[in-house]
Amino acid sequence: MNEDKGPILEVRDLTIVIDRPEGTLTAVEDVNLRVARGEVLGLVGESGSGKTLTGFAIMGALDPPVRISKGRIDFKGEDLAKASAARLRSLRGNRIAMILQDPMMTLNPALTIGTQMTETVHAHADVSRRRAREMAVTTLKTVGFGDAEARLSSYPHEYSGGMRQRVAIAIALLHQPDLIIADEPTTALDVTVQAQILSEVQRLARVSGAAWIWITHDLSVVAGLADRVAVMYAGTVVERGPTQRVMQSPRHPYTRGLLDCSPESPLPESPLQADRRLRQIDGTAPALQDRPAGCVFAPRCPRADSTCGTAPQPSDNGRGQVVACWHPLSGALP
Amino acid sequence: MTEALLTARSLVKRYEARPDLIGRLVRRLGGKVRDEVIHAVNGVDLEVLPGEVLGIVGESGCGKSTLGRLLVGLEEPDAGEVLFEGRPVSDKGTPLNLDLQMIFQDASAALNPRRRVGDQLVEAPIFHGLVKRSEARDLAVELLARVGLDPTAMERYPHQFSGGQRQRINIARALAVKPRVIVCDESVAALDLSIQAQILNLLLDLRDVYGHALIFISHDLAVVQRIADRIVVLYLGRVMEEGAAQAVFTRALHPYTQALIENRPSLADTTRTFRALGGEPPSATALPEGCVFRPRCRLADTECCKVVPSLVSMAKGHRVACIKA
Repeated sequence: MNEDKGPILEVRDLTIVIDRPEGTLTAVEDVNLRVARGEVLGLVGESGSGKTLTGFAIMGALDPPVRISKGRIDFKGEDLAKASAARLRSLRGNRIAMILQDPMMTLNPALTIGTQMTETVHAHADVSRRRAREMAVTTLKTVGFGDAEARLSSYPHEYSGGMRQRVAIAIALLHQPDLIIADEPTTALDVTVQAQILSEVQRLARVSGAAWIWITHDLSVVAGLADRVAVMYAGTVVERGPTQRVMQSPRHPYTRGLLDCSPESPLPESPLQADRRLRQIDGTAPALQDRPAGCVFAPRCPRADSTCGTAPQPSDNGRGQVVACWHPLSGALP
Repeated sequence: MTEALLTARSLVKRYEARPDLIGRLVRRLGGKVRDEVIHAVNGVDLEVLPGEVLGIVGESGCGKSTLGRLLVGLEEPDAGEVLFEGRPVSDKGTPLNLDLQMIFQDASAALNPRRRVGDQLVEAPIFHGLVKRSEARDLAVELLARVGLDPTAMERYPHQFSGGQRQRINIARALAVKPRVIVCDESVAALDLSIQAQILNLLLDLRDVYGHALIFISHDLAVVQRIADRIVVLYLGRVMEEGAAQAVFTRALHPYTQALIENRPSLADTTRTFRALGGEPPSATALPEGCVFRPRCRLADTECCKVVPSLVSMAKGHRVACIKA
């Protein structure tokens, strides 16, 4: 393959709107993303920031009244924003796979794991039943089921939440997709179970060469897992770049604010030892119909002034850290 | 030594899971079906000091919510007792004490969708004779101001607020009866990070103003580490470790606490390799013999099957239930 170096996926100026009787609302505006083979991109944001919608758009899974109004989704040189429904169907579950927060959205409670996995194999590959079973067993082994053979005849309800999510991941991996979009896949899981899944994903990303988009609200998961990160707020990507750089020297005031209000942020060295209060971002994210003109974060931003009435263009600081802000921060976090 | 405000002694709570349809059918036909018993809380001793922030951490199914409900008297223990200043807190599952209040995870489920916020805030104080009807309005305005909401909120209905604002209303409602202990059961778990910080700050501010104790139940170690004075780590309905927050996080003694701390993702660590804890999370219907953490523990040996470890004091106020620690 000759595309090993370039990005598997490049999203350019993606804009998603919702048609309502009272007018068209913009939910996602001019989003730019890229992810390369073997790389994990963390797509971070709070609820309503448009991260899931962006994931669904890449999957070609938007339904009216939600639609892509502008932009390109280049997947291995093909623009998915313009692809036909039939073409998207042949890609989904095959070259692009999705993992959802609730594995029971993927799994059918009435069918055995084996049936569901071989069905998925047959949806995109013309192989014998025996071959399909072999593929299912091999894939279950890659997500850490030692006794994969025996697992095929069991039903989802026999499994714990973490095991179900691993089965859902196995189904996503069946056709060795080029791109895997995971939407909050460990959010509902306990710390110890989450660690188990993250360790599998880290290993898989290294060996399989697939590109991952990991959608989450949890910055600390992204810190440990993602190579690069994109931070979304109110439908726009406010900052993106290498994870380490973004986490250690955030340039957008929103990124900085998020890191500051995390309970993990360092305690202030105030004279009051008992003061454990967190630094907070005042206010709330705007509703879709109230998205401000200009910079969307300006109403909550401590650095905002009159220039912020115009939307800032994303700019690169020369080290791969792209920020959309008129008054970006410099310097590292304490 | 400060006198404990709230004391739990050897608390046990079990639930019987009713047999499913097939089970009932088999039973009707004369077959034997075992009743499944869920051992939610299995012998917990606990003290809450006046004005402290006590964090209760554990994973799903460890009994932390049941423990919270027992502490405020919403559930009757099967064995053991909960005493508030020496008096029992419940009579057959009916809470007896206004001094104990609870704030739940689901802010909307806790509010009546069909009543105005103002009416909901003052319902309890009027019912219990803490304020006259004529003063109720002033109380509502004061409570709303305390939690950072506008007086106009009184006339509105719960669905007209965001998740964070609804949780503020729940906090105001808990404060309305001037409690001395507030149990927060995953009260910020459903909120976005920026809103979570606002609510945590509010809880700490209010604690400073009113001086009540906070029992903060959470699965989120970072949150608990940030706000708690003392921490209790639960696993399968038993206390694994207990101590000052600082001590537990810097010198965890129990292998389970160590695993929890090791496994949590962290902002600071961008080059880490995640490692998995062996074994699957256990079921509360079939407790392991001996130490409940044994099947997943890296230190466990045959000795751990034989004895149920009791909490042993290792340092001042730092206790651990592990024979290997």
